[in-house]
Amino acid sequence: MTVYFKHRDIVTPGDLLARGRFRVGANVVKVGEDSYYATVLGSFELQNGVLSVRALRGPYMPRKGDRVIGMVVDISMGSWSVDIRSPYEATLPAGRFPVRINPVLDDIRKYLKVGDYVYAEIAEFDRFRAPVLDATASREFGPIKQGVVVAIEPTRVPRVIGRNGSMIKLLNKELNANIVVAQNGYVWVRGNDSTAINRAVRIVKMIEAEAHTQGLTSRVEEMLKTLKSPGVQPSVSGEEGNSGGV
Amino acid sequence: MSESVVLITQDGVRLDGRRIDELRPVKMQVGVLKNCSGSAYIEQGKTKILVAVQGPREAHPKHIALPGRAILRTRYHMAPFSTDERKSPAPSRREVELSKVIREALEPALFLEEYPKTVIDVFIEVLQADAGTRSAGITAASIALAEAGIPMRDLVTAVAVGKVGGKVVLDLNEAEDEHGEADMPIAMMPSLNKITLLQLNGRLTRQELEEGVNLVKKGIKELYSLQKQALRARFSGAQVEV
Amino acid sequence: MADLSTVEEFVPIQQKELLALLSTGVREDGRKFDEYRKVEIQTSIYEKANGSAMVKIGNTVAVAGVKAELGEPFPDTPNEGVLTVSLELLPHASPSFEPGPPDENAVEMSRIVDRGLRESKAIKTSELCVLPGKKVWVIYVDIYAMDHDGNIVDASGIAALAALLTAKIPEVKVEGEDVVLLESTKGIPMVERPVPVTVAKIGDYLVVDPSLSEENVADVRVTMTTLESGIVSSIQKSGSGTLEEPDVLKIYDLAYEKGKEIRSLLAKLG
Repeated sequence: MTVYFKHRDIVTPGDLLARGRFRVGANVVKVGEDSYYATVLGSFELQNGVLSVRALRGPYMPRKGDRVIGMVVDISMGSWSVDIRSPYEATLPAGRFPVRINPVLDDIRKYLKVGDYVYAEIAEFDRFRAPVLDATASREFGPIKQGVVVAIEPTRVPRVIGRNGSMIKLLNKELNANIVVAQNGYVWVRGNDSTAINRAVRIVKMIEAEAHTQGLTSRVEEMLKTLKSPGVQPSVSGEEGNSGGV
Repeated sequence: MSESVVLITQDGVRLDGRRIDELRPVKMQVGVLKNCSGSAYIEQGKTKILVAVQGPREAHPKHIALPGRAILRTRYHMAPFSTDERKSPAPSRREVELSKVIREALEPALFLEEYPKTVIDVFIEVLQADAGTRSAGITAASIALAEAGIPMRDLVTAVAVGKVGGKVVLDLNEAEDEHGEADMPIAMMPSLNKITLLQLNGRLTRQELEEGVNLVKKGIKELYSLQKQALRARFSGAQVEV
Repeated sequence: MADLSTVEEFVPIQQKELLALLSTGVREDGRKFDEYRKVEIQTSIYEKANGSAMVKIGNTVAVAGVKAELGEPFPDTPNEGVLTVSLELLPHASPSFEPGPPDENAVEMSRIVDRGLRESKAIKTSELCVLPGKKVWVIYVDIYAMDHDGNIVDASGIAALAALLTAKIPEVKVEGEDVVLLESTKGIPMVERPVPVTVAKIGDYLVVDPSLSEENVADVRVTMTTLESGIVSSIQKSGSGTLEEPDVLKIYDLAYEKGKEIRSLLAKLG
């Protein structure tokens, strides 16, 4: 059993990760009897005998049950077409909107128009049909009417959420904020206080930029301290996302 | 071959000072563009190419979509200002052919079945042509695809070997391509040791063919490690240069 | 075989059956792996052309017509004649061929045939010069794929070669700046006989001269054009599969061997 990389090393497609007997996790392929190769650019992980690569970039692939934020791009008689930053455009049927709508009598534009963000759940998707959204299952679902929506790399979502939600809980507690991280890489910072929103956005972008590095949590804690001390505007590295105020 | 041009000296030094088994200076960088899924820029000698990947995205027109996998589309195109004489921007027969063989060189590396009904577009724009454009285009395209996060069996790496002044040499420049006796571009998935593109224009003996395949592997090995450096550098901000 | 394709790629049923058959050493039409189908060559079939040929490889049919015209040379080669090769996939040949501008397959195939002729320097273009810098012979080789039962490239390349080898162009007399075409004719100056041979790779097997059903399931096709001396003058890998390194020389050996057989058929044309 030989492992050729250290935990969190950056690997590229075609890198031989290990030889021997391991279990195959995400973005790893076994070739022949005992060779394991990376299939994406990402950070290498070996946990409990499972080899995996956490992708650094890549499109969002919908999964049933994922909570996503999308933007309305088209409206037809009884449904909205919603861009969920995936190769597949989603549909939100009027019947799955939180408010009861009669699409024959009601103009559904009243509830969501093109350009609006909506928070919902993927109710159906099996790769042969386009994803169908549902906004009835939770009280949080529905049109996004206040706060800010920021785009991050969908591949970084797990780090922003943290293990069992630890990171996002930390942020919400320390910043006294209400941040929702959708699986498709949209982050919704709720509230009306622009200073609080600004802080939350900065720290989310920092986590995104450094998601693949070691010691992230301690750096986040440090940054939280700095952010809370008045008058300091720490600089944030990393790429900019599209942010849209609502 | 034009007799007046001495492309290679008796002791194996080429016009630009390289040895027969030496690549031109290579520079590559990924993530150079903002509004696409993946991108890469490569310079190999005076050849300069920009590659953008868009997708996977919904296929338009819809009827071209395949139920079980993504479609890969490639467009190899030369800018009108990329050559000595202006090249008409309309796609030539050569560009149509190269777009096809480049697609077939990249396709074996991609797990296209991950994205049914979608299309992945690879746009290879030759900004300056000085030989070896299809191979440099492939080398750059594969790292742009990797940067886009599309799952791959391996990167694809390409370079040409040729015959110049009776000798088999690595990575022809324009003068060598024009006046030499043969040009043989080859692409491989280096880790898996598989050939994905093989073409020859010119005249080679069986032995030279064998020599060429061996020599090309040396160049591919060097380029492969540069590709990996460029991909890693994408997340530390540095540029790869040799 | 330690191969990714066996791990997660799905193998079409047709290919599975064909592979099972190939593993017993037989191809679906009973041929051996290195066996070419029967090749028939007819020449001078259209008298309005300077040269013409029909080539049948099994049920695959291609015809080539050569037309020669006096025209201007390219500025960078003022003392050389011009060769233009084009291949059209007639809608007659296959339900998958549509009339209209050539698609990428047609473009690729015609460029393979073109390169085989051009890169081998088969035609002594300097002898096609009539008035340096002003008048040269322009040789058009137009190929029609008429029936597609696999391996159109070889059929087209052989047809083009047979038509060129048997073509007749008028002798000319130069009077000052004027060129007079005479009644007498001569052949096109051919110094090589470049023969394309295509080998398909299906699974791990290399088969020469693939039939249509073999082409349909093949991972890769490789066309190599070889000359009498053993020189290879063009190679094209086609299709989205891969080759192993040793395949290159194996394919060369097959292409050269079969090229010899086809060249001996061409020798009978006189």
